[in-house]
Amino acid sequence: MNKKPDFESLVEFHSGELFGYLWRLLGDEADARDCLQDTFLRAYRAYARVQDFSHLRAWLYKIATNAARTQLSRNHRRESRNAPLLEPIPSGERAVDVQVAERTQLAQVRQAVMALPDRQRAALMMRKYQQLEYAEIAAALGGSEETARANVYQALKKLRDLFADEVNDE
Amino acid sequence: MNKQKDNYVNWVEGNGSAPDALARSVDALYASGPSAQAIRLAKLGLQTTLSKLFSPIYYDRLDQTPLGPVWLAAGPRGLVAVEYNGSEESFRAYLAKISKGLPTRSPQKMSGAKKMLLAYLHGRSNRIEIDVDLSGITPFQRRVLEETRKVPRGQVSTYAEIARRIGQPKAVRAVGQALRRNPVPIVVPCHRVIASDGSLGGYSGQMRDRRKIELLRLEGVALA
Repeated sequence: MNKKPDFESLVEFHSGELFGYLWRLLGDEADARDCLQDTFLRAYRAYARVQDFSHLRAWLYKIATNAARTQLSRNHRRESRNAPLLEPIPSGERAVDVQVAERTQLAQVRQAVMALPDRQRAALMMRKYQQLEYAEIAAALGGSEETARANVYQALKKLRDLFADEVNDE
Repeated sequence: MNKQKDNYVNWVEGNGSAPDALARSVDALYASGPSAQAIRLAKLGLQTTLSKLFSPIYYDRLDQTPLGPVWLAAGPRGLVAVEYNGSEESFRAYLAKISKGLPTRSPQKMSGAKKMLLAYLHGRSNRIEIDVDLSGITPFQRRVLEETRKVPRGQVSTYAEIARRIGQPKAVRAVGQALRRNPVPIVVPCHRVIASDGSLGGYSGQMRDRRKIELLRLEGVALA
């Protein structure tokens, strides 16, 4: 890449994946939608000043993560929302009580993920579901690659400690 | 326990499937990501927001009019500004205020609108069939201007009449205000709206009055 891409192609290229990231990070579709707009508005204002455009993906994740932080602190003042990620239980082959148990488990896990420190949740999502390199995560969160890696594994450790009883059987 | 930790490492680094119920739950919640419908909606919202930043604004100057030079500017949805007698600098400054994009002078892009406006000002056509983009003003102002656009050449209406037609008969003064802020004079013929007593009304300043009289005279309306 030796020419700075125009901003529109940046939107074209990355808006889908950034929406996925924000959706995972915020756990709410409407919030993710607002935040996506906020992210690209912030990016647009800053884009003229970007000199090094070989790390635009990480740069966008950094802006998205900051925009999400703003959104979360805003939400903090609002009532916390509940589990919009869950689909209704389909009637079907499996017993409803089994499905309800699974559902309860999912809701608890979701709550635990949302309760992780923002940086840890961000690092986990970027690594596991957005397939970012540790160098990119480090650039997005600030700090070293080692810190980025530590954030991912601290998130996992926290979740496993919380759910130690349920997962011991395997 | 170490084996389990390795499984977790493999899972998170994308080299293995979920090692236990917890990992499976996390996958169930986050692996598939937002639905196609949600992504479509999000992109649509983003496009709408960003389109305001990207809409290019083109402008040019129309010479040889009976009114002197006229500046006009258009975005993708139509004409956004008409101004007479101002300088290019002041017109550009105004355009920068109403849109975030950088205004570009383009005789080519503006040639259609210029031709129509010129034909109209020289009396070779009675209507100006140019799309007008009124998205930058309030809904009330828009209703006033849309109603005003229906007043045909050679006729006049009154502030009270426009107020009545938009269903707000008491908003006579507000109608006057809206017309005073008309971003596209001539094309939206605010000069054809006068006070009920037949005076020019509303308008302040001799300069504006003179132009209003000029335009009306051009259209064959004699004012007392």
